[in-house]
Amino acid sequence: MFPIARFRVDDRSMEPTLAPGDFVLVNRLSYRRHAPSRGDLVVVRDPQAPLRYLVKRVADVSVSGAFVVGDNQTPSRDSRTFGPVPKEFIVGRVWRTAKP
Amino acid sequence: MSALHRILQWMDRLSPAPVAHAHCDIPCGIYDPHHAQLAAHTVIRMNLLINDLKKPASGSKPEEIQEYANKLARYVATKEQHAEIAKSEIRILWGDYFKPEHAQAHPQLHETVFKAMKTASKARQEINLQAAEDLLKVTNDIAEIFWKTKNIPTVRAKAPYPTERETVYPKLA
Repeated sequence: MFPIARFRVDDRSMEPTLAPGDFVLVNRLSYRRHAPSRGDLVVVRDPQAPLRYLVKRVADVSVSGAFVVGDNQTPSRDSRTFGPVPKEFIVGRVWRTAKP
Repeated sequence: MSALHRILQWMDRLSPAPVAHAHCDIPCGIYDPHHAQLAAHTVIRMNLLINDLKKPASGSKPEEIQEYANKLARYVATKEQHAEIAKSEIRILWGDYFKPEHAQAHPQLHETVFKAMKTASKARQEINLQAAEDLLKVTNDIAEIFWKTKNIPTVRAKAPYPTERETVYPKLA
C-alpha cells in the first residue's frame, strides 16, 4: 500500500483551515502504531456512507473511535450526527495541505 | 499559487483525486438535473466541433499542425471535463436527492443512473457522437423522473443551443 493518498477538498465545513479546491495529502500509515490525537486533521470514511470521504478534526478519542468535528461547526455534519468514527474508518492523518 | 497545489492540480487532471467532503449536508434541498443535461449538450457540441475540424493534410506547415493540435486538444479536454460533470451531477441527484420511495415509484431509476454512468464514461473516453447523444438521452430520462417526483410536468423541446437537441424542461407555471 502506497502510504500517501491525495484528496481534493469539497465544501466548507473545514473553513478557514481548508476550502473547496484545496488538496490534502494523507499519510495512511500514521495510525498504525498509535491512536489519533486530539487536534489531528484526518480523512475518514463517512460511517453512514462508507464510499464517501470526509475531512475533519479529531476532537476526542475514546475506545469506540475518534470523535471528529468540522472547524466551521455550524454547517458541519460530523460526529455530533453520526457518533465516533471507528478506527477502521479512519483513512489517515493529513500530512500536507495545498492551497491555490 | 503554491507549487505543491500546482503539482497536485496537474496530477488531478491525469487522475482525479477522490473528494474529501467537508460536507455541510444541511441538506439544502437545491437540486436540478439541468446541470447534467447542459453538460451532455457540451459533450455533443465538442464531438461536432471535433468532427468538423479539418485534419491537416500531409505536408502541412508546422503552424497548421500546431493550430490543429491546439484546437483538438481543447475540444477533447472540454469533452472529457463535461462528461465528468454530467456523471458528478447525476451522482449528486442519485445519492442526495432521490429517496427510496422515488425509486419505488420509478423502478427504472437505478438502471437509468447505471446506464448514465457507463454512457458518460464512453462519451468521455471516445470521440463518439452516438455516445454523446445517448448521454443526453439518459440525462433527459433522469430529468423526467426528477420532475415527476416533484409533480412538475415536463415538456420536450428543442434546446436553444447550437446542438438543438431535444431536451426535457420543467413546465413551471
